[in-house]
Amino acid sequence: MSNNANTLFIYTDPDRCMSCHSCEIACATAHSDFDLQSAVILKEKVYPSRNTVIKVDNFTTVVQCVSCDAPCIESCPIDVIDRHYDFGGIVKIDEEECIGCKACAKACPYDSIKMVEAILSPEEIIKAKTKKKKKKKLKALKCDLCFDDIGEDGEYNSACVAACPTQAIILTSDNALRSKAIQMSKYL
Amino acid sequence: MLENYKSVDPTVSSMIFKAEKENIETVWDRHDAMQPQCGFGETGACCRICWKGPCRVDPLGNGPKVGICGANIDVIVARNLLRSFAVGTSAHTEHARHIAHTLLEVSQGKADAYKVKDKKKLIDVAKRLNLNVENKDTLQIAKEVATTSLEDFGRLDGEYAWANAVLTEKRKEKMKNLGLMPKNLGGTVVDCLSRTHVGSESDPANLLASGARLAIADVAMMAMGTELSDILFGTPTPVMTTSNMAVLKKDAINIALHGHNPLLCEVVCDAASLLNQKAKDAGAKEGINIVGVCCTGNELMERHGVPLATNYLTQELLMVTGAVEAMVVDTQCIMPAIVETASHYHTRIISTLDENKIGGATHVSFHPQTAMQSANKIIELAIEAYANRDDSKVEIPNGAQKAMSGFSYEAIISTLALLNADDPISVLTDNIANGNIQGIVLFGGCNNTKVVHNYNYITMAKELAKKNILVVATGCAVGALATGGLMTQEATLEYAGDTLKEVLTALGDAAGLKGPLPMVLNMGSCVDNTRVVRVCEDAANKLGVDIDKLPIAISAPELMSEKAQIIGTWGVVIGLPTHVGVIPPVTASSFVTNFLTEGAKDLFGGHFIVEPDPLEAVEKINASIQSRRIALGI
Repeated sequence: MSNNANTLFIYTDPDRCMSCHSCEIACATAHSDFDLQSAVILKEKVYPSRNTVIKVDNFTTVVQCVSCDAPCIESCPIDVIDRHYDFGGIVKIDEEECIGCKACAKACPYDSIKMVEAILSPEEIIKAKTKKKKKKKLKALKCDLCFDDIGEDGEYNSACVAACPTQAIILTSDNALRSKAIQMSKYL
Repeated sequence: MLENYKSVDPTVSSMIFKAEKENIETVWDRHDAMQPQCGFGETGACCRICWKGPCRVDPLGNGPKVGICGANIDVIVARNLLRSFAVGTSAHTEHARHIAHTLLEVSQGKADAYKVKDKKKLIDVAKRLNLNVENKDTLQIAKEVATTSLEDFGRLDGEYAWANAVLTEKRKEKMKNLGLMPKNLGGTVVDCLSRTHVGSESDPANLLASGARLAIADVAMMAMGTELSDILFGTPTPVMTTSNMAVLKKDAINIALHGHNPLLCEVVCDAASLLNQKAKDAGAKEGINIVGVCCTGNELMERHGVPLATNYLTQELLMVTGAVEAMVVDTQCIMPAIVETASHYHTRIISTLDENKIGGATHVSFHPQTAMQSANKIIELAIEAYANRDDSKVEIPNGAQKAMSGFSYEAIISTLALLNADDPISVLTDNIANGNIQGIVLFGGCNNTKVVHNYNYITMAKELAKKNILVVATGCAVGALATGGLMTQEATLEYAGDTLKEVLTALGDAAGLKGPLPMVLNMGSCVDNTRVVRVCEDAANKLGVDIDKLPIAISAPELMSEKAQIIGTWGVVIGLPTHVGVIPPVTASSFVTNFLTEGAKDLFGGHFIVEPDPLEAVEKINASIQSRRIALGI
């Protein structure tokens, strides 16, 4: 990890994590157009969370992108993954443009990119129906530290950090914690 | 606009300010510390019933869809809801049981502190329970009423006497046809709980149906609580009093009575008047000042005009005045936090029921047989505490709000009788039919930190009155609407629509009030909701329809407790549209959500309206009322 020093990422303290999955719900709704109650009541389709609560040995923690050297950027054939140096070095996929080719997910050394079935707009659904080949459209999703919610003053508003009832989740650029996160998810 | 407000009661706001200054934690601090609240809990997607769990189904549909046992979200939500209902009903049960048992002890001469205060009510109740009263003395009738009531808890043969007394004939028939008429109280609660055991019932529709049966058992039980209380302590009649935290007196020993059951507070009031001189001797020039909190407050307010200091959410703030010597509590809706708040002052928290002890409080065991001794001890503890009052910490808000109380069913009927002695209810139904009164809305329920304290009640009541809808209130709605100044004649003149104002003025003038009745009729504590049911029943019988056709609705815009949940449910089951202003934790199941908000309408005539915005809620309630008017052809 040579060029990732000081890039921001989400770290979850396993000593504080209660495995309640609140961060997953917060992540899913923060990346949708709905709050939880509206999504549930209106039965809106919402993408799965970009983070995942895991149990390893006898502790639980949350895993997601650790903002590493980011081989995903190079892997993208249509060049829609960028690192935003103005914003803590966040690596973000342009999900509108993503064609769902899975290259980034394969390139990711820590399995932090989820390939999920795309939620189609009503127009896209009609278009898909007229196509002969019924192939499911995919999207690549990864943690973007809630890029769209970064305040005008540059303040980060990552939904999982706010949602955690035990303050186990923090935003940090500490490389020791980055290594620990990778170690916890058994990649090191 | 409301973002920075916690309460719309200025006396509360000044105490919130004082609490902040003195670094005393309040319910709002704890609410903030609890944010964000768990989404699985909020939507009802969490099951903790067995120890394979906890299980949670992903309400967004991406994660697990069933629990480890295979229970789907509909089963999980319905089971959890039914459990809450059973707890709410159990709370009402214990309330009614204490009172019924005390009535029995009175009839046996074992409870000196109590007596049959309202013989007329006793006979009325006996008749409604189909008991023969001819040639029987008061105590004999009391014994039979108490025995029949107590039998209802575990009745194996015959019909549930109180359910028979409460429901209209049409509703009874309907519930029987649906197979949802409960046989007794205890068995119905146990039946509901047993269905929710792991591996028992997994048909969400049948779980909800048993909730409806439970709701009927509950409304009957609540009626028992209210009516037997009236027998022992008197049926309320209109009385003028005051409300909000300014009712505390600087030069008095202030005792706040808090909880729900009138058994305790009535006797404490008696003891206070006997020991008043002792309080004066201890230096309190004005003697003992009793004030009420929550529904104990409502019980005292409706029967004796005792000032109501505040409702549920602000109970701890009352002590922040530094002028409360004792807060005496019995059961239900008592925040454990009051002990911590009291520790900053000289206030003694006194718990009284052996089955409802409060950790950290002084316990004075209270039993009907020895009620007076316990009450005396409580007063003495308060007098003792007065010596430790720190005057530098005392700050009592100014400006107590006038409020009228005591509109029991009987009081309303006697008021209506002033305009038509032969057929009192026709005064109400005629005015509903001619549109002078568009409908009736009963406000009930609690307070909830998810809502600005009292704001929904006050906002909605004003808007509804403007639309010529008669507003009545019970429970913590009373605290809100009394402190908000809406239980006054002035409120009628200022906010009521023209035709409603006309009717209330005709009634008020006839009652010798030289002006209208108050805009909101105060019908008592939360258990007293059945007073309203009786008015509905009379109106329905008069119009020859069942309650589900009447332009009457319930609103619980700030509810939280399990008791309020089951009250709202029986509102729906007896046929009334019932608004809740807090989103219930059921939304993860569209089956349950749809049943409560739509499906129930086909089965019972009533349904839940879920709407957090008070103005939107008024529109939705009014729409329900108007569609019922159209259906009635009025």
